[in-house]
Amino acid sequence: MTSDQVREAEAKLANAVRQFGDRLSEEQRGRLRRILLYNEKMLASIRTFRTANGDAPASVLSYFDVGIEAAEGPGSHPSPDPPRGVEKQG
Amino acid sequence: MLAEDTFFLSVRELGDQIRTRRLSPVELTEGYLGRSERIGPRFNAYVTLTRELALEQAHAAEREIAAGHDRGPLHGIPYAVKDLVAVAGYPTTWGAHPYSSQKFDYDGTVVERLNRAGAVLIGKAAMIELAGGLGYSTGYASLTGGCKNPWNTDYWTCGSSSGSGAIVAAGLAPWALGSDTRGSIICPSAWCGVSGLRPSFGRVSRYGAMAIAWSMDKLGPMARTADDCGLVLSVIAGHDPRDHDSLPPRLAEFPYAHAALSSRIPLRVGRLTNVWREPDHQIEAAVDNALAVLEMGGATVSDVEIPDGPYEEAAELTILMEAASAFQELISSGRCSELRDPVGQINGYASCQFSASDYLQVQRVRTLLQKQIDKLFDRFDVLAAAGQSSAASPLRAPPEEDFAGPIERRAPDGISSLCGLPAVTVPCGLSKEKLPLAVQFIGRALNDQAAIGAARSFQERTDWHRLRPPGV
Repeated sequence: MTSDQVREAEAKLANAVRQFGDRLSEEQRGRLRRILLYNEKMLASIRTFRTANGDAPASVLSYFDVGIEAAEGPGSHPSPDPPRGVEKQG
Repeated sequence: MLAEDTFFLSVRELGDQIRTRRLSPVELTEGYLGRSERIGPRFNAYVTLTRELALEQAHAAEREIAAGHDRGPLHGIPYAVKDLVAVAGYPTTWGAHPYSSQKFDYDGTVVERLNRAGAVLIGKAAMIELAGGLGYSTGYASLTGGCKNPWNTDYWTCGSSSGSGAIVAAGLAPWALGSDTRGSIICPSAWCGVSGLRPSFGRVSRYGAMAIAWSMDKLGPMARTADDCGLVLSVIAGHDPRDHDSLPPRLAEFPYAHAALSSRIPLRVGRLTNVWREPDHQIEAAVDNALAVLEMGGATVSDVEIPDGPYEEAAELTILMEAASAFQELISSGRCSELRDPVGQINGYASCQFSASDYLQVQRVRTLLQKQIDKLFDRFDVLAAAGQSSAASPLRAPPEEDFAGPIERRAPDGISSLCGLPAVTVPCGLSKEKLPLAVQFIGRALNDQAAIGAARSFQERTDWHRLRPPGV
């Protein structure tokens, strides 16, 4: 990890302890620190992944951005006949 | 008294017998309830048995069928539901102590749909606390204790749909509903030697189900066969305006057709060659054999690599960030300290430190990864990989030192869950310890048919799914 990443994790730990410290034992603070360091590693792989200004977030996962109509082409839904379980539902 | 073999029949087989009046739904329900009461505690499989409701539903089904009223493939068929779905009047514990006395006065949509289909609810399946939403380090992280694998009770079922896996494997119900945010149907199905389907995101309503990560949570069946999973999905899939992420009706419905799947040949299978960090050689051999079976049936199998990208990190971070919001009240009140797992007790405090811009950046990367994966399906109908990187692992006490090792950079569960893809896992062998091995088939978003079809094609030619754990 870079020193910047470690500093960011330590800052988050300080903030977490400020918010919730009265609930945390020394052992839990140590575990919390390890979790925050690990989260920082994961964030690093996201922050270094190249994105362009127009790349929108999947805030609501949408199938329609990725040409999903192709999956609805011939063969994807092989039968137009509904099964009885669906047919009988009100 | 029913023969023991009856309890290991598929939903389709049981349904055929019920519709032709060779099998009584009441007798079948009594049988499964008796087994669940007698054998279930060995595995910590259930939180609650719903005996009264089950018998009421079974008697109703029996009356209707006798009168010629057929509600379809699940009519009179018992099932269990993971204890994160609301069932009116019964405890819905989310597997966690802070919610041990929680009750709702309504049914989740999936239970409503199953009620309308005449299915018989026999119990609420044990699960990892909060389905692992605040993290966990061992299988003991559950209100009901560690869930034991029916194949060997020294081993874990995997989670978080632990009880659902044990219930189906031990013949305590022919199918059970699980939930999957990142692998929680796929892993317990694989380790328990049953067939599990994680449907496309948005296909099955989650109204009335506990939320972990809204953009990743799915509900789906765990059953004896992939065909059964298709039958169940045909009943539980459908648009629901009460679920924000529910697909529109035309896309949400799943018109499963038994015969049509077989005609879809040749099936194009892409075998993922760069997933799992250190796959067990026994599993790799079993997957090779499984794909050879499909080839003999006319499928084409080619190697393919997952493109490089932080799939697992994006999946894990999305869950951590959304769960910090979903469980905000539990975290801010400090009641997360009542969770069993030492990670779950404090992980929410760490997740509260993420920023909004980090969340959005993860979701931007996710969109790009989704497009990368989708391109693979221009060449393949399904992607295939081991169900898990190993057979079941022993049920262990929490580690004393650290909370977790590095995540699997390319575990297919994270990749496909992140992108909302359907996946089916089915048993394809036994390890030298006599524990199940599994192969999984991942389909393009909304093409659940392809994943079910590939798994069904394999099961039509093999009998791994008919093996039963010893002593149950």
